[in-house]
Amino acid sequence: MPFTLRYHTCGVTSLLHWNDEQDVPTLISGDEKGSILVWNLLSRKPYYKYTCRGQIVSFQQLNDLIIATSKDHTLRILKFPSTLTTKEGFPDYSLPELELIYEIPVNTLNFANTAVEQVDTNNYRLWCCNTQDSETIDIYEFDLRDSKSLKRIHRALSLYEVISGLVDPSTMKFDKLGTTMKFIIYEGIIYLGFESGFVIGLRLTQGLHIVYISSANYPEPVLDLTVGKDLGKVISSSTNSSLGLHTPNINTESHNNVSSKDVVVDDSTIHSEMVNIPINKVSHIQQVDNLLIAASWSGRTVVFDINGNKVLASILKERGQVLIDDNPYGNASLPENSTKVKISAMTCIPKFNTVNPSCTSEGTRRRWIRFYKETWCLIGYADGSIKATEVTFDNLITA
Amino acid sequence: MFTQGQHVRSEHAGTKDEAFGKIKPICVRLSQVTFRKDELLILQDPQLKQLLQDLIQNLDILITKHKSLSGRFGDYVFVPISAMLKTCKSLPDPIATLVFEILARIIDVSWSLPATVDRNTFSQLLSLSTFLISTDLENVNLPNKPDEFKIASIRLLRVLYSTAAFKEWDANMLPAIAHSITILLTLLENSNMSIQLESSKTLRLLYRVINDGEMLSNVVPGNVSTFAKILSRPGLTTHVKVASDVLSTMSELLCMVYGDSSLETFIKTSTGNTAVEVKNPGKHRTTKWLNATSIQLKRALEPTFSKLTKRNNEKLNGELFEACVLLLNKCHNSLYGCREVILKTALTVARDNVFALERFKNDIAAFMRDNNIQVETNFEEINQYNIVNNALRILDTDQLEEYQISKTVAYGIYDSLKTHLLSLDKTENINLIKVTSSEVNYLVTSGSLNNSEVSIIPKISSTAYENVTNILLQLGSKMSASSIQEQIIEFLSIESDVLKNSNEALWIASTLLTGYKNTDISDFLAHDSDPISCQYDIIEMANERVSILSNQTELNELQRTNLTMNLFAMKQMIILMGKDFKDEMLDYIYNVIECFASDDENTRFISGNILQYLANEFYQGAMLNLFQDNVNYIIDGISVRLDNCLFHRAYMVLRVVIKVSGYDLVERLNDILEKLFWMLGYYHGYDDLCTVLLNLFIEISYKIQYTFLSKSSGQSIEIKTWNQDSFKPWGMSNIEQVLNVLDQEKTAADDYGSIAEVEPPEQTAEEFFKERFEKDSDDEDEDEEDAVSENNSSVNNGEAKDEMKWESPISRDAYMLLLRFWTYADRLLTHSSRSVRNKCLDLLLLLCPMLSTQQAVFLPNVAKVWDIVVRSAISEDLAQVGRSYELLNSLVLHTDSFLMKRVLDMWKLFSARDTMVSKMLSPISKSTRVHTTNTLQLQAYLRCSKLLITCMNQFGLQLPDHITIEMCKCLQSLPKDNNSCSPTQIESKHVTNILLLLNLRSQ
Repeated sequence: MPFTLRYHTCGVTSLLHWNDEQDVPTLISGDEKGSILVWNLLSRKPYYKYTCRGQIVSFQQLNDLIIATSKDHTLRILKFPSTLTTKEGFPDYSLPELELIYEIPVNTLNFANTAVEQVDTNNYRLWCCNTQDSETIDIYEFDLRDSKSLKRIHRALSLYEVISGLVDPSTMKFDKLGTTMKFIIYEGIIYLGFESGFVIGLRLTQGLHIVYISSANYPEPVLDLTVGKDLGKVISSSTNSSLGLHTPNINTESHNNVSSKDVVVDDSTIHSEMVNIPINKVSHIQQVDNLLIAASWSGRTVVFDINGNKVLASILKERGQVLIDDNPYGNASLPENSTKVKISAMTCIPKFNTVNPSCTSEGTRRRWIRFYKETWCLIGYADGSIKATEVTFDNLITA
Repeated sequence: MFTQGQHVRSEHAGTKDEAFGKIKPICVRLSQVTFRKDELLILQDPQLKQLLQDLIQNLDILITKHKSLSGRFGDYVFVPISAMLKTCKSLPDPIATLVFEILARIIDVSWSLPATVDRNTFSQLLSLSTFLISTDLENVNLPNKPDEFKIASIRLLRVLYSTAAFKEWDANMLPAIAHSITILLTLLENSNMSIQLESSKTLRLLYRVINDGEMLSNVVPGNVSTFAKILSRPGLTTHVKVASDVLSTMSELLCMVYGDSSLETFIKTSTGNTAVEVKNPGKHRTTKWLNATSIQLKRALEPTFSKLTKRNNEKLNGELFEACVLLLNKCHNSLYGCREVILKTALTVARDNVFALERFKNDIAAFMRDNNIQVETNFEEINQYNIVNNALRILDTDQLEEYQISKTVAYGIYDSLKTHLLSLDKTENINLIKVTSSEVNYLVTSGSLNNSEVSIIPKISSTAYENVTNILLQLGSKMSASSIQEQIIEFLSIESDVLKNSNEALWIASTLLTGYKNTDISDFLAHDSDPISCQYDIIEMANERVSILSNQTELNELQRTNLTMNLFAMKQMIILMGKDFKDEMLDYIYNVIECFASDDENTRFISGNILQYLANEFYQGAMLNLFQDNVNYIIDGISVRLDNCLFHRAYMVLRVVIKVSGYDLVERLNDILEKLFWMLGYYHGYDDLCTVLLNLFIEISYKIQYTFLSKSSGQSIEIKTWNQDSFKPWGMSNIEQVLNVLDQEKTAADDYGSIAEVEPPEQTAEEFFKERFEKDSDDEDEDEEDAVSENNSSVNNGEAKDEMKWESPISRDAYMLLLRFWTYADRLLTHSSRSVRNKCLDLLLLLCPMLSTQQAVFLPNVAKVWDIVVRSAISEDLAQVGRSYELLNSLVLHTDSFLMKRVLDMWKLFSARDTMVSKMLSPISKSTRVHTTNTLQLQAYLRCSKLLITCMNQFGLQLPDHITIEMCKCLQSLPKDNNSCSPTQIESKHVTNILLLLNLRSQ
């Protein structure tokens, strides 16, 4: 049965499925006003909260840390609660607060997210837009134990010069990569999606290595990046109906004597692998359990088979059509494309058939197992609701 | 000298003599009659009867004083009697009766002790007595004899049986004994109740005295057949007392004849055949005899017992049970052939005494198995229930399983229910979604319900329902964990389409599990796996089915029964889960609440019970808390229903939920509200839907009003008036008023913040235009502005984007929601349904003051709605007209002079068309006041005049004088006694002057 989570009073802007086999199925959600909620998906109730001062842009899970980027220009590292306890006694709606561990100021002017990777036990590396210029990136390192340990390793790193040198000017004419739209980490590589449609894979070892370049989405901007585990590729979506597929060839070239400040191109090929799907303006893309799930600006979420050929399901929310006149100048305030409620976040939860619930209650145990028998698509809407829908299909084509 | 004792004895002897002295002359006189040679002379003697009666009387006196007298006394008294008997061939009944009485007394007092009478004499006496009672062996005439005769006969026989001489009966007496038995049987068969009782008791006495199974075996067939005949008479012709007594007589006889101990019977089983053999046979009672008679006996007993059980009399049942237990105890082996009949009867009539059958567990188990005993389709067959129920009470878990009884019984009930439910009507659909939220409201507010049980299976009596339930509970309580688990899984795996087939299997499974859980037996079976998962299997399946059924708009009888059965199964499981259910609430609470909003009484009742239970168990009985704590789950249920366009019941639940929750809930319901708006957009053709949605909007509007206006500020909406009556300062009559005016001006000037509020709206609008143009050019830089304000963290995201100053105490989001209500109500004002239109007017009226708190947004919307409201005021529907005037009044009141031009147009329209105004201004009514008994009409008039007063107050001198005069004329035509809109409410002195002038003129 599909269900809806309601607690946010404004648009839900970010969702994250907390991936930990030991915990009950958990979702983390953030909204326009900066509220973060930790949901127990079995009881469908929020158990923890945190409030920022600006819209939540993105979440990332790193071990037991929740990394939340907010429009108040701050990246916060919060500790995932060790137990999702139920508050006894009624009425008591006050939720306990998540523990804040670390705070870093970041540029979130253009809604780009950030990416944090672990360097060693206590040291972490942050990839984000430059504080002043969203077309360039900064790389920081910090020690979680020391609040003053933040150190900028690369400042305002611009990749345009390098990339433009590799591109055939007769086919692609661009004077900038544009702002960085998305960051994602997959198998040690940081992928950056740009406004120009380029997706670039980077690795920081000795020097910054460009390990992958793709123009699959050029010239349309990259709207979302996701990891397609079944495909073994990173997938990018854009305003058109193409999805870029990205697989780097690791260690194609080796370089010696490289300084840590150098930018090295490991693979100068401009890749352009893509797949077309019958939907455009894909603001959110997910790949899970041999399914491809794309949410469009139109408010429609479509579930495809892994090849993106066959439409298996479509999820949408209708909205009222009578326009209201909410300003003194006579202009109705609803945007034109308003037959459906706007999608503002999306995440998917894969099946987990071998789950062994660690709980004493038989009812919870059964719900836990039943939950993981389905593939779930959770969509955050502009109306503040998070709708969870099963998207389980039999006899799917595998990648 | 006499000692005390001697004195008593001599006194005693004296009395004896005295008694004898009285009897002697009677005997002498009797002898004078009876010693005559002619029978006629004897019998026709007028003194005979009297003498016999005197004799009885005196004998009685004697007997009360002396327990026994000498044999010779008896001989003496007997002499005149014997003389009569010798002469007379037969005695008339009255004389015979008296003779029996005398004989009985003599025997009792003189010949009952040993050696008081010799054997031959006694034998003759016995023969004589039976002969006197009935001359023929067939007792043909006996039934027709008078009752006194019969009673005396029985008494005589009883006295004879009680003598010492009778105890030493021999073969010579057998014919007489046999005859006496036939006499008693005849009397038993053909007399009234008291005689029957006496006969039965006497027979019992006889058996006891004879105390010889071998001898009695000769009379068994005849006796039993008579007993059976009496016991199985149709109807209730045999009295309970008689039947009970006869039963015990019969059982005593059977025990004597068939007693295991005397016959030493044993049961021999070889190659599957079972046979009874007599180890200690008598002359008559051999194995052959036993086999032959027990077949006959069974034939006699089966219908008899069956008949008796059907009488369903408590006393009789008790006797029957005693008789059966006696037979089982004493003749267990001998009556092997009748054992099933006896067991069946015992189980049928047993009550709390059932444990007397404990010894026969194995027999019962075998009986249940061999006879495939189960509850049959005829639910009113009470005995069947008793057998199964009592058997289950007696039998052990092991036996139930070994003999496969649990399966047989459970499936028996299943088959019966299935057949029964097949007969339910599947054609007539009943709409279950009539909206009656009053009960839900009542439940939430009062939190109590009538808590008796209901039968969830239609068309069977409550007793039958109770019985089936008890059997299942009993069966469940006796099953082992593994077998109940197996049984439940079997039941749950029965394919059953909830819409087409009956769902009895689930109900049975749930009741079995309840029975199981309610006993401590599970403690003893710790090695078995706990069937805890079964309760989840059951409740999940029941819930799934309830969901399917609730998703139907109409249900037929079968489907309704399925709904109640599934709901009932849920209830049982919820109770079993106890505290554990708290975590399960999310999946079930909505369905239960929605069922409570059902139109079906049983459904409502069971769901009400569940809610009550949950409130008691988890919320100290507070239903409100139950709703509030689970509001998210309830809302989710509503949204699923709305997605399926199953709107009516969901609406009702939603309304209740909103009612019991705060505005913070409404804030989280954006998606539901969006869905409702969408539905209203698509399905506005359905009057019902529009009305209920508008009701819901009204509910939410009240919630917002309460949250932002009454609760926080503690004050109602302030009506902002910018218009200053130019006459205002002139009305002052003292210095205080002057000071007041000055104070007001001063305060207004001091309060910088409120200046915006007192400025005319036109000016505000201009400002807005100006600002708007400025902002438009800045739009592109918005992001940069954001960047600049990076450090200004206190700036709210929403506020930063604001184009206008937000003045309303209502939050922007809530205001926008109200505005959407307004827009929808505006659209629906032209709806074809009268009730929808009126509801819209109500909603607009409620929204008007609230929306007026943000004038800049409000005014364009007022402008939009104005014309339609004016038009709806020109109608024949008085209710609508009244509401329209009220709304127009509110619009004028809350918009300052914004509507000036429109009001003038409205006035023109009202004067020209057939309206309240034109009627009041017409020449006919000009001179007369409005007289109406129609409340609606009067109300409409009053609201109309209220509107006019508001207009005059609001616009003052801005209104042309001729219009003001006409308006005042309208006011004049109102009934004088109505204070609600008296001219004193008019604030403008100018208007008051006009009114006074008009009044003067008319006077």
